[in-house]
Amino acid sequence: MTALIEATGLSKHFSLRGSRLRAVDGVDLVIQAGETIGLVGESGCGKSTLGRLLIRLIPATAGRVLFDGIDLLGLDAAALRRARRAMQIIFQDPYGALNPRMTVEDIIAEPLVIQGVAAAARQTQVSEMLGMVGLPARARQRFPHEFSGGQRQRIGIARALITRPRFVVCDEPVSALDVSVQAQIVNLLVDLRAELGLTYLFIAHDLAVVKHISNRVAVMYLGKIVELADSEALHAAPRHPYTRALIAAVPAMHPSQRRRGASRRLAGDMPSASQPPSGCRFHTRCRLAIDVCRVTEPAMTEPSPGHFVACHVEG
Amino acid sequence: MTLLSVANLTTTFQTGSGEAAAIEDISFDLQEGEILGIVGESGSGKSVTALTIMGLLPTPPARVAGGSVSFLGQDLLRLSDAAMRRVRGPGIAMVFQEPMTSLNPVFTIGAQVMETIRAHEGLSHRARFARAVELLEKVGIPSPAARMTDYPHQLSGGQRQRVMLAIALSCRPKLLIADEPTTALDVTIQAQILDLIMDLRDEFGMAIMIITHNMGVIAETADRVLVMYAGRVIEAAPVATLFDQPLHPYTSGLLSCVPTLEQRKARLAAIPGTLPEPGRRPPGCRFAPRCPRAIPACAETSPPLASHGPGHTAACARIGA
Repeated sequence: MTALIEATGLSKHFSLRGSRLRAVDGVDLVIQAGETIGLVGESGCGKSTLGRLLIRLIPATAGRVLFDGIDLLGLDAAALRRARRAMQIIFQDPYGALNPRMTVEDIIAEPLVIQGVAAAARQTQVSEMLGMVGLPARARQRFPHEFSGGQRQRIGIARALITRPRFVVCDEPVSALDVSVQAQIVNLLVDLRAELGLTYLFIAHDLAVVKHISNRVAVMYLGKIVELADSEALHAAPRHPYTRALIAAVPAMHPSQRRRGASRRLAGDMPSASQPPSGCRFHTRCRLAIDVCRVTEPAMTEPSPGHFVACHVEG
Repeated sequence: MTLLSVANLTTTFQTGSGEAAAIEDISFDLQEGEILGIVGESGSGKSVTALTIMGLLPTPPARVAGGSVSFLGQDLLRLSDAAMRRVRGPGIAMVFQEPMTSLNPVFTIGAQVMETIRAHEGLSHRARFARAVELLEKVGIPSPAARMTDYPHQLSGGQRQRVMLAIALSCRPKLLIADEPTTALDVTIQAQILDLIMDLRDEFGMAIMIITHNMGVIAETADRVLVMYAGRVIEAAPVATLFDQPLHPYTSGLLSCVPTLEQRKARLAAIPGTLPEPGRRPPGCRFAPRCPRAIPACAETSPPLASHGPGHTAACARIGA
């Protein structure tokens, strides 16, 4: 396998009333061509910001992103537009992400307009794309409000894939959908991945969905990746105390497996990213924290091949 | 002892194209101290059921077209507004999905907890203050006395939901209705809030109606479950029975389309199609157009809820066929 995305020291800091909010803080991440990497963590941990940074939807404060060997952050506007053909994003909210005044055809074709594709070719490609995402041909001239949430997400997927990208950031693509519709969209994303040879960054807070679709999973906490491993290994033998707490918090899927009580509770809320705790950022909520955790930030270690963790105690 | 008895409840809404039923012929009982889970997707009518019971739907456009809601022997649908206000709080309290919009942003949380105590119990300012601090402590707000002067925006989503629970519990209700209480929260905070709700039930002994779209929340909390689809109850059972022997194809579909951490499969068992909107619901069985087991007759006649075992009812013509 070859690396499609190589991010080094990637950071995004926002200025917030005089303080700096470190949304993403020094992330290193390599995504192999053809793999799906899941990204999980609580809201505010920086997972959506990281997804946007990797395709330069927002500018980075520091660090570097290589896309297929090309330095993304060094591209000028015209070169970036050409590169964008190969990287796309699917958003969470199928209601907010589609312009209500545009027809489905215009929405799906817009990336092609930007790429300078001729009208006749656009027509053909839109027809083909509609079929691939399971929308009827008569959907072309309709408007987003005429569709259900699941169908709107199919429109969003068609728009993202119309330029035949290699890399797609899926930012909570099923979180806003009804449970019975989520599985349809997950299956569609799996099918399209195989059909088009896609590489996904799959961002979600639902650990079971992420495990289902991902080859590897990265766990983020307060702007940093704290654990990264093969999807099965991460769930079978999580090392970071935060990963363990996340997994323990997932509700049981049968009443006989109810797990009530303090042992599974992660105390408190995630601290503010504008004043991250010293040392290991998780130490304020960690049961295993020792003195060094409060002072020194743990480096990423590789305790078993391909399993990375940043923890003084379990690393 | 039966606390709440809902019988044949139908609520309609006036829409641009006429009157449409949001819920139809809903019947269930709730025992003292019991946790009843109501599970369903958008448009299933689970929230409308709760709001009808609470008398909180704006009329018009809403109208209770039939049925009764008997709470401790009195029919809530026949009560005057003043009498209903006395039921809300000490009788039935409710917490909502979005704790940010349920709390008033311009008042401190202390003022909001104390307001409920004053409305229902009176007491001196000093006694109200002490009771509010005690309630905030009970729901796990750290340094509660210091938090009394905080505004809602200064709290996290999980803490706001704790404050909502403190307000709901301030009058020691006999029934707590929790409408998607953890849907807006992270999974870690959801676990904290579900634990808290269970602890509070043990301590106060109230009955709880928990409304959710999440089968995991049901598995973690409920004693008994109602499954709703497109405005109707399609299955009701004790929680273990529902998970072990779901009878309605929609219930089995809901249980198997959700991926779990334990299993590995290449494809999820998706339910095809989409949920019908109120007003565009199909005739006959509402689930028939999406049902893998449907036969032509399903589209014609709506199957009634029928008994299939102790406490287990389901509305499907194809059970055992």
